[in-house]
Amino acid sequence: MKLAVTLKINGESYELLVEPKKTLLDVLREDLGLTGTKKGCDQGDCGACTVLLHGKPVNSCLVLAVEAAGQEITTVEGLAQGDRLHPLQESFIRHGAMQCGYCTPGMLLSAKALLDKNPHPSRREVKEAIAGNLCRCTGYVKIIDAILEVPK
Amino acid sequence: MKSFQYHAPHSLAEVCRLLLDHGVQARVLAGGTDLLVKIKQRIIEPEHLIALGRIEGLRYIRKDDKKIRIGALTPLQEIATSEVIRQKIPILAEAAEKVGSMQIRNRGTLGGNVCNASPAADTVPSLICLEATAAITGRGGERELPVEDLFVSPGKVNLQPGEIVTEIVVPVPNGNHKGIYLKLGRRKAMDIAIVGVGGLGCFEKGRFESIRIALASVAATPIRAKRAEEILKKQRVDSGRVLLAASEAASECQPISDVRGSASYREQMVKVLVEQAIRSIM
Repeated sequence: MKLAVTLKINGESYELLVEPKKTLLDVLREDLGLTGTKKGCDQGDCGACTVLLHGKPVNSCLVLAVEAAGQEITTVEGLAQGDRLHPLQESFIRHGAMQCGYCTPGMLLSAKALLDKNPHPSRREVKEAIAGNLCRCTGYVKIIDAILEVPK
Repeated sequence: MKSFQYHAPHSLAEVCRLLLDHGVQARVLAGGTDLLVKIKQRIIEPEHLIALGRIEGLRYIRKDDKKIRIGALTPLQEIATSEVIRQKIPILAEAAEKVGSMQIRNRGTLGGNVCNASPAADTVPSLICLEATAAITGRGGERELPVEDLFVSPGKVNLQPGEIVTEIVVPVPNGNHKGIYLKLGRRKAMDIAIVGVGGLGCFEKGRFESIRIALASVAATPIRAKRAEEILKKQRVDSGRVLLAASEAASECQPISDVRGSASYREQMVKVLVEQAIRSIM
Protein backbone atom coordinates (compact mmCIF):
# COMPACT_ATOMS: atom_id res chain seq x y z
CA MET A 1 0.00 0.00 0.00
CA LYS A 2 1.39 3.34 -1.02
CA LEU A 3 1.94 6.16 1.41
CA ALA A 4 1.70 9.89 0.76
CA VAL A 5 4.91 11.77 1.36
CA THR A 6 6.07 15.31 0.66
CA LEU A 7 9.75 15.67 -0.18
CA LYS A 8 11.63 18.98 -0.24
CA ILE A 9 14.35 18.69 -2.80
CA ASN A 10 16.64 21.55 -3.80
CA GLY A 11 14.14 23.99 -2.41
CA GLU A 12 11.07 22.58 -4.16
CA SER A 13 8.26 20.47 -2.72
CA TYR A 14 7.11 17.28 -4.36
CA GLU A 15 4.01 15.37 -3.28
CA LEU A 16 4.23 11.70 -4.02
CA LEU A 17 2.61 8.35 -3.41
CA VAL A 18 5.31 5.78 -2.73
CA GLU A 19 5.60 2.23 -1.54
CA PRO A 20 7.28 2.14 1.87
CA LYS A 21 10.09 -0.04 0.56
CA LYS A 22 11.09 2.51 -2.06
CA THR A 23 14.39 4.22 -1.26
CA LEU A 24 14.97 7.93 -1.64
CA LEU A 25 17.45 7.03 -4.37
CA ASP A 26 14.83 5.23 -6.43
CA VAL A 27 12.26 7.96 -5.90
CA LEU A 28 14.73 10.62 -7.04
CA ARG A 29 15.70 8.73 -10.14
CA GLU A 30 12.47 6.98 -11.14
CA ASP A 31 9.64 9.08 -9.80
CA LEU A 32 11.21 12.50 -10.15
CA GLY A 33 13.60 12.04 -13.07
CA LEU A 34 16.44 13.51 -11.03
CA THR A 35 19.02 11.13 -12.38
CA GLY A 36 22.03 13.14 -11.24
CA THR A 37 22.16 10.94 -8.14
CA LYS A 38 23.62 7.60 -9.18
CA LYS A 39 22.99 4.03 -8.14
CA GLY A 40 26.25 2.14 -7.64
CA CYS A 41 26.14 -0.65 -5.10
CA ASP A 42 22.68 0.12 -3.70
CA GLN A 43 23.85 -0.94 -0.25
CA GLY A 44 25.71 1.97 1.26
CA ASP A 45 29.23 0.96 0.29
CA CYS A 46 30.14 3.20 -2.65
CA GLY A 47 28.63 6.63 -2.02
CA ALA A 48 27.52 7.18 -5.61
CA CYS A 49 24.03 7.80 -4.25
CA THR A 50 25.15 10.47 -1.78
CA VAL A 51 22.67 13.29 -1.19
CA LEU A 52 22.56 15.87 1.58
CA LEU A 53 19.87 15.63 4.26
CA HIS A 54 19.83 18.90 6.17
CA GLY A 55 23.30 19.53 4.76
CA LYS A 56 24.67 16.16 5.90
CA PRO A 57 25.82 13.53 3.43
CA VAL A 58 23.88 10.27 3.52
CA ASN A 59 23.57 7.25 1.26
CA SER A 60 20.16 7.73 -0.34
CA CYS A 61 20.01 4.01 -1.14
CA LEU A 62 19.69 3.40 2.59
CA VAL A 63 17.06 6.06 3.27
CA LEU A 64 13.47 5.03 2.70
CA ALA A 65 11.66 7.81 0.85
CA VAL A 66 9.00 7.85 3.56
CA GLU A 67 11.73 8.53 6.11
CA ALA A 68 12.93 11.61 4.23
CA ALA A 69 9.70 13.54 4.63
CA GLY A 70 10.10 17.02 6.03
CA GLN A 71 13.85 17.16 5.56
CA GLU A 72 15.83 19.47 3.30
CA ILE A 73 17.25 17.29 0.58
CA THR A 74 20.02 18.53 -1.69
CA THR A 75 21.00 16.64 -4.81
CA VAL A 76 23.67 17.48 -7.38
CA GLU A 77 20.98 19.19 -9.43
CA GLY A 78 20.74 21.74 -6.65
CA LEU A 79 24.34 22.90 -6.89
CA ALA A 80 24.27 25.07 -9.98
CA GLN A 81 22.18 28.24 -9.97
CA GLY A 82 20.75 28.27 -13.46
CA ASP A 83 23.77 28.62 -15.72
CA ARG A 84 26.12 29.44 -12.90
CA LEU A 85 28.02 26.39 -11.74
CA HIS A 86 28.90 25.91 -8.10
CA PRO A 87 32.57 26.74 -7.35
CA LEU A 88 33.14 23.04 -6.66
CA GLN A 89 31.84 22.10 -10.09
CA GLU A 90 34.08 24.71 -11.73
CA SER A 91 37.07 23.51 -9.79
CA PHE A 92 36.38 19.87 -10.75
CA ILE A 93 36.30 20.90 -14.42
CA ARG A 94 39.49 22.96 -14.13
CA HIS A 95 41.32 20.08 -12.47
CA GLY A 96 39.98 17.32 -14.65
CA ALA A 97 38.57 15.60 -11.59
CA MET A 98 36.08 13.49 -13.61
CA GLN A 99 36.56 10.63 -16.01
CA CYS A 100 33.40 8.59 -16.31
CA GLY A 101 31.64 11.00 -13.98
CA TYR A 102 29.68 8.38 -12.09
CA CYS A 103 31.14 9.11 -8.65
CA THR A 104 31.12 12.84 -9.30
CA PRO A 105 27.69 13.86 -8.00
CA GLY A 106 28.39 12.04 -4.73
CA MET A 107 31.88 13.53 -4.51
CA LEU A 108 30.54 17.04 -5.09
CA LEU A 109 27.97 16.72 -2.33
CA SER A 110 30.37 15.20 0.19
CA ALA A 111 32.77 18.02 -0.65
CA LYS A 112 30.08 20.67 -0.36
CA ALA A 113 29.09 19.35 3.06
CA LEU A 114 32.73 19.52 4.15
CA LEU A 115 33.38 23.05 2.89
CA ASP A 116 30.12 24.36 4.32
CA LYS A 117 31.27 23.23 7.75
CA ASN A 118 35.04 23.57 7.38
CA PRO A 119 35.91 26.16 4.73
CA HIS A 120 39.67 25.53 4.90
CA PRO A 121 40.16 21.81 5.29
CA SER A 122 43.51 20.08 5.27
CA ARG A 123 44.28 17.46 2.64
CA ARG A 124 43.66 14.82 5.26
CA GLU A 125 40.29 16.27 6.18
CA VAL A 126 39.27 16.19 2.54
CA LYS A 127 40.27 12.54 2.29
CA GLU A 128 38.26 11.74 5.40
CA ALA A 129 35.26 13.61 4.03
CA ILE A 130 35.24 11.62 0.78
CA ALA A 131 36.21 8.29 2.35
CA GLY A 132 32.69 7.08 1.69
CA ASN A 133 32.81 7.93 -2.02
CA LEU A 134 34.56 5.39 -4.21
CA CYS A 135 36.08 6.32 -7.56
CA ARG A 136 37.19 3.65 -10.01
CA CYS A 137 38.69 5.96 -12.59
CA THR A 138 40.68 8.88 -11.31
CA GLY A 139 42.77 7.68 -8.38
CA TYR A 140 41.29 10.50 -6.28
CA VAL A 141 44.25 12.91 -6.51
CA LYS A 142 42.61 15.41 -8.84
CA ILE A 143 39.36 15.20 -6.90
CA ILE A 144 41.17 16.14 -3.71
CA ASP A 145 43.12 18.88 -5.50
CA ALA A 146 39.89 20.27 -6.91
CA ILE A 147 38.22 20.38 -3.51
CA LEU A 148 41.25 22.03 -1.87
CA GLU A 149 41.37 24.69 -4.56
CA VAL A 150 37.88 26.01 -3.90
CA PRO A 151 38.64 28.04 -0.76
CA LYS A 152 41.44 29.80 -2.61
CA MET B 1 13.37 -5.43 -1.58
CA LYS B 2 10.44 -7.48 -0.43
CA SER B 3 7.51 -5.31 0.54
CA PHE B 4 6.74 -4.59 4.15
CA GLN B 5 4.22 -2.65 6.14
CA TYR B 6 5.68 0.55 7.47
CA HIS B 7 4.69 1.86 10.87
CA ALA B 8 5.75 5.23 12.22
CA PRO B 9 4.66 5.30 15.86
CA HIS B 10 4.88 8.43 17.95
CA SER B 11 5.43 6.83 21.34
CA LEU B 12 7.49 4.11 22.92
CA ALA B 13 4.32 2.44 24.15
CA GLU B 14 3.16 2.14 20.57
CA VAL B 15 6.51 0.67 19.55
CA CYS B 16 6.30 -1.99 22.23
CA ARG B 17 2.72 -2.80 21.31
CA LEU B 18 3.60 -3.15 17.62
CA LEU B 19 6.58 -5.36 18.46
CA LEU B 20 4.39 -7.63 20.59
CA ASP B 21 1.63 -7.68 17.96
CA HIS B 22 3.91 -8.70 15.13
CA GLY B 23 6.59 -10.69 16.93
CA VAL B 24 9.32 -12.09 14.73
CA GLN B 25 7.74 -10.59 11.64
CA ALA B 26 8.64 -7.11 12.82
CA ARG B 27 11.92 -5.22 12.94
CA VAL B 28 12.73 -1.86 14.43
CA LEU B 29 14.13 0.76 12.02
CA ALA B 30 16.57 3.33 13.37
CA GLY B 31 19.19 4.65 10.92
CA GLY B 32 18.67 1.75 8.55
CA THR B 33 22.33 1.35 7.65
CA ASP B 34 22.40 -2.26 8.82
CA LEU B 35 18.74 -3.23 8.60
CA LEU B 36 18.08 -2.07 5.05
CA VAL B 37 21.25 -3.72 3.81
CA LYS B 38 20.12 -7.02 5.34
CA ILE B 39 16.69 -6.67 3.77
CA LYS B 40 18.17 -5.85 0.37
CA GLN B 41 20.41 -8.91 0.62
CA ARG B 42 17.44 -11.06 1.66
CA ILE B 43 19.19 -12.04 4.86
CA ILE B 44 15.99 -11.04 6.63
CA GLU B 45 12.58 -10.30 5.16
CA PRO B 46 10.44 -8.67 7.82
CA GLU B 47 6.78 -8.08 7.07
CA HIS B 48 6.65 -5.06 9.35
CA LEU B 49 9.10 -2.22 9.86
CA ILE B 50 8.62 -0.12 12.96
CA ALA B 51 10.31 3.19 12.31
CA LEU B 52 11.54 5.03 15.39
CA GLY B 53 12.25 8.35 13.69
CA ARG B 54 9.05 10.06 14.80
CA ILE B 55 9.50 9.36 18.47
CA GLU B 56 10.57 12.44 20.36
CA GLY B 57 13.32 12.38 22.88
CA LEU B 58 15.54 9.49 21.83
CA ARG B 59 18.30 11.57 20.34
CA TYR B 60 20.49 13.38 22.85
CA ILE B 61 23.80 13.47 24.66
CA ARG B 62 23.47 14.65 28.25
CA LYS B 63 25.87 14.84 31.08
CA ASP B 64 24.70 14.98 34.62
CA ASP B 65 26.91 14.75 37.63
CA LYS B 66 28.52 11.34 37.18
CA LYS B 67 27.05 9.92 33.99
CA ILE B 68 26.71 10.62 30.32
CA ARG B 69 23.40 9.55 28.86
CA ILE B 70 23.09 8.98 25.15
CA GLY B 71 19.75 8.50 23.46
CA ALA B 72 19.60 5.30 21.43
CA LEU B 73 18.74 7.20 18.25
CA THR B 74 21.78 9.50 18.41
CA PRO B 75 23.68 9.27 15.12
CA LEU B 76 27.25 8.02 15.34
CA GLN B 77 28.64 11.18 13.74
CA GLU B 78 27.14 13.23 16.56
CA ILE B 79 28.81 10.97 19.07
CA ALA B 80 32.13 11.18 17.21
CA THR B 81 32.09 14.99 17.27
CA SER B 82 30.37 15.67 20.60
CA GLU B 83 32.39 18.00 22.79
CA VAL B 84 31.36 16.31 26.01
CA ILE B 85 32.08 12.81 24.70
CA ARG B 86 35.45 13.77 23.26
CA GLN B 87 36.41 15.32 26.58
CA LYS B 88 35.02 12.84 29.10
CA ILE B 89 34.83 9.49 27.31
CA PRO B 90 36.98 9.90 24.18
CA ILE B 91 37.29 6.13 23.73
CA LEU B 92 33.67 6.16 22.55
CA ALA B 93 34.19 9.05 20.10
CA GLU B 94 37.26 7.26 18.77
CA ALA B 95 35.22 4.16 18.10
CA ALA B 96 32.20 5.95 16.63
CA GLU B 97 34.30 7.83 14.10
CA LYS B 98 35.75 4.57 12.82
CA VAL B 99 32.38 3.22 11.76
CA GLY B 100 31.79 3.16 8.02
CA SER B 101 31.87 6.53 6.37
CA MET B 102 30.46 9.98 6.95
CA GLN B 103 27.33 8.95 5.08
CA ILE B 104 26.83 5.90 7.27
CA ARG B 105 27.59 7.78 10.49
CA ASN B 106 25.06 10.49 9.68
CA ARG B 107 22.27 7.90 9.75
CA GLY B 108 23.55 4.97 11.83
CA THR B 109 22.73 5.26 15.51
CA LEU B 110 24.38 4.11 18.73
CA GLY B 111 21.38 1.99 19.64
CA GLY B 112 21.47 0.45 16.19
CA ASN B 113 25.18 -0.33 16.30
CA VAL B 114 24.64 -2.07 19.63
CA CYS B 115 21.35 -3.87 18.93
CA ASN B 116 22.40 -5.05 15.48
CA ALA B 117 24.66 -7.24 17.61
CA SER B 118 27.41 -7.79 15.13
CA PRO B 119 30.44 -9.21 16.94
CA ALA B 120 32.37 -6.60 14.96
CA ALA B 121 30.38 -3.60 16.21
CA ASP B 122 32.92 -0.83 16.73
CA THR B 123 31.22 1.05 19.56
CA VAL B 124 30.79 -2.01 21.75
CA PRO B 125 34.34 -2.64 23.02
CA SER B 126 34.44 0.99 24.14
CA LEU B 127 31.06 0.69 25.84
CA ILE B 128 32.17 -2.49 27.59
CA CYS B 129 35.40 -0.86 28.77
CA LEU B 130 33.36 2.07 30.05
CA GLU B 131 30.97 -0.26 31.92
CA ALA B 132 28.07 1.27 30.04
CA THR B 133 24.54 0.08 30.64
CA ALA B 134 21.56 -0.06 28.31
CA ALA B 135 18.19 1.30 29.39
CA ILE B 136 15.50 -1.02 28.04
CA THR B 137 11.78 -0.30 27.73
CA GLY B 138 9.10 -2.94 27.27
CA ARG B 139 5.46 -3.50 28.03
CA GLY B 140 6.41 -4.62 31.49
CA GLY B 141 8.26 -1.42 32.26
CA GLU B 142 11.89 -0.44 32.26
CA ARG B 143 15.08 -2.22 33.14
CA GLU B 144 18.83 -1.78 32.78
CA LEU B 145 21.40 -4.23 31.57
CA PRO B 146 25.16 -3.85 31.26
CA VAL B 147 26.04 -3.56 27.57
CA GLU B 148 28.46 -6.41 28.17
CA ASP B 149 25.50 -8.70 28.91
CA LEU B 150 23.42 -7.67 25.93
CA PHE B 151 24.83 -10.07 23.36
CA VAL B 152 23.64 -13.60 22.80
CA SER B 153 25.01 -14.53 19.38
CA PRO B 154 25.71 -12.80 16.06
CA GLY B 155 22.70 -10.61 15.34
CA LYS B 156 20.90 -11.48 18.54
CA VAL B 157 20.47 -9.25 21.58
CA ASN B 158 19.26 -10.17 25.01
CA LEU B 159 15.89 -8.46 24.70
CA GLN B 160 12.47 -9.88 25.46
CA PRO B 161 9.67 -9.63 22.91
CA GLY B 162 8.36 -6.10 22.88
CA GLU B 163 11.51 -4.50 24.29
CA ILE B 164 13.79 -1.88 22.82
CA VAL B 165 16.90 -0.11 24.01
CA THR B 166 16.18 3.57 24.58
CA GLU B 167 19.37 4.90 26.10
CA ILE B 168 22.99 4.05 26.77
CA VAL B 169 24.29 5.25 30.12
CA VAL B 170 28.01 5.71 30.63
CA PRO B 171 29.54 6.40 34.03
CA VAL B 172 32.26 9.00 33.60
CA PRO B 173 35.65 7.53 34.50
CA ASN B 174 37.85 9.67 36.71
CA GLY B 175 40.34 11.94 35.05
CA ASN B 176 43.31 9.60 35.36
CA HIS B 177 41.84 7.06 32.98
CA LYS B 178 43.19 6.64 29.48
CA GLY B 179 41.49 4.70 26.74
CA ILE B 180 42.00 3.64 23.17
CA TYR B 181 40.07 1.82 20.45
CA LEU B 182 42.11 0.09 17.78
CA LYS B 183 40.44 -1.20 14.63
CA LEU B 184 42.29 -3.50 12.28
CA GLY B 185 41.15 -3.26 8.71
CA ARG B 186 42.47 -3.03 5.21
CA ARG B 187 41.20 0.49 4.77
CA LYS B 188 40.94 3.48 7.04
CA ALA B 189 37.20 3.70 6.42
CA MET B 190 34.31 1.61 5.14
CA ASP B 191 35.63 -1.60 6.62
CA ILE B 192 34.27 -4.09 9.09
CA ALA B 193 36.87 -4.70 11.79
CA ILE B 194 39.07 -7.75 11.29
CA VAL B 195 39.88 -7.31 14.96
CA GLY B 196 38.76 -4.53 17.30
CA VAL B 197 40.45 -3.82 20.62
CA GLY B 198 39.24 -1.43 23.29
CA GLY B 199 41.37 -0.72 26.33
CA LEU B 200 40.62 1.58 29.25
CA GLY B 201 42.63 1.87 32.41
CA CYS B 202 44.09 3.95 35.18
CA PHE B 203 47.87 3.51 35.27
CA GLU B 204 49.69 5.12 38.16
CA LYS B 205 53.17 4.60 39.54
CA GLY B 206 53.84 1.55 37.47
CA ARG B 207 50.57 -0.23 38.28
CA PHE B 208 47.10 -0.50 36.78
CA GLU B 209 44.61 0.59 39.42
CA SER B 210 41.97 -0.52 36.95
CA ILE B 211 42.08 -2.03 33.49
CA ARG B 212 39.45 -3.30 31.10
CA ILE B 213 40.09 -4.82 27.72
CA ALA B 214 37.31 -5.68 25.27
CA LEU B 215 37.55 -7.36 21.88
CA ALA B 216 35.46 -7.22 18.73
CA SER B 217 35.30 -9.62 15.79
CA VAL B 218 37.05 -12.48 17.54
CA ALA B 219 34.16 -14.42 19.05
CA ALA B 220 30.44 -14.93 18.56
CA THR B 221 29.88 -11.77 20.57
CA PRO B 222 32.09 -8.90 21.73
CA ILE B 223 34.06 -10.19 24.71
CA ARG B 224 36.18 -9.03 27.57
CA ALA B 225 39.70 -10.30 27.98
CA LYS B 226 39.30 -10.96 31.69
CA ARG B 227 42.32 -13.19 32.13
CA ALA B 228 44.50 -10.61 30.43
CA GLU B 229 43.12 -7.99 32.80
CA GLU B 230 43.95 -10.13 35.83
CA ILE B 231 47.55 -10.42 34.71
CA LEU B 232 47.81 -6.64 34.62
CA LYS B 233 45.98 -5.73 37.78
CA LYS B 234 47.44 -4.53 41.02
CA GLN B 235 51.07 -5.34 40.47
CA ARG B 236 54.01 -3.68 38.79
CA VAL B 237 53.66 -3.87 35.05
CA ASP B 238 56.75 -4.19 32.94
CA SER B 239 57.27 -5.11 29.30
CA GLY B 240 57.18 -8.81 30.06
CA ARG B 241 53.87 -8.56 31.84
CA VAL B 242 52.36 -6.58 28.99
CA LEU B 243 53.37 -9.30 26.52
CA LEU B 244 52.03 -11.96 28.83
CA ALA B 245 48.69 -10.18 29.08
CA ALA B 246 48.54 -9.75 25.32
CA SER B 247 49.21 -13.45 24.77
CA GLU B 248 46.57 -14.34 27.30
CA ALA B 249 44.05 -12.11 25.53
CA ALA B 250 44.81 -13.95 22.30
CA SER B 251 44.04 -17.25 24.00
CA GLU B 252 40.72 -15.87 25.28
CA CYS B 253 39.34 -15.21 21.84
CA GLN B 254 37.56 -17.71 19.61
CA PRO B 255 37.80 -16.23 16.14
CA ILE B 256 36.46 -17.72 12.96
CA SER B 257 38.01 -17.68 9.53
CA ASP B 258 36.03 -15.59 7.10
CA VAL B 259 36.51 -13.40 4.07
CA ARG B 260 38.27 -10.76 6.16
CA GLY B 261 40.84 -12.99 7.78
CA SER B 262 41.72 -16.41 9.06
CA ALA B 263 41.19 -17.44 12.66
CA SER B 264 44.90 -17.81 13.19
CA TYR B 265 45.63 -14.37 11.76
CA ARG B 266 43.01 -12.84 14.03
CA GLU B 267 44.47 -14.58 17.04
CA GLN B 268 47.91 -13.24 16.22
CA MET B 269 46.57 -9.76 15.66
CA VAL B 270 44.74 -9.78 19.00
CA LYS B 271 48.11 -10.28 20.65
CA VAL B 272 49.69 -7.45 18.66
CA LEU B 273 46.84 -4.99 19.15
CA VAL B 274 46.26 -5.73 22.82
CA GLU B 275 49.94 -5.09 23.45
CA GLN B 276 49.66 -1.82 21.53
CA ALA B 277 46.53 -0.85 23.43
CA ILE B 278 48.02 -1.56 26.85
CA ARG B 279 51.16 0.40 26.09
CA SER B 280 49.21 3.36 24.84
CA ILE B 281 47.25 3.68 28.07
CA MET B 282 50.27 3.30 30.32
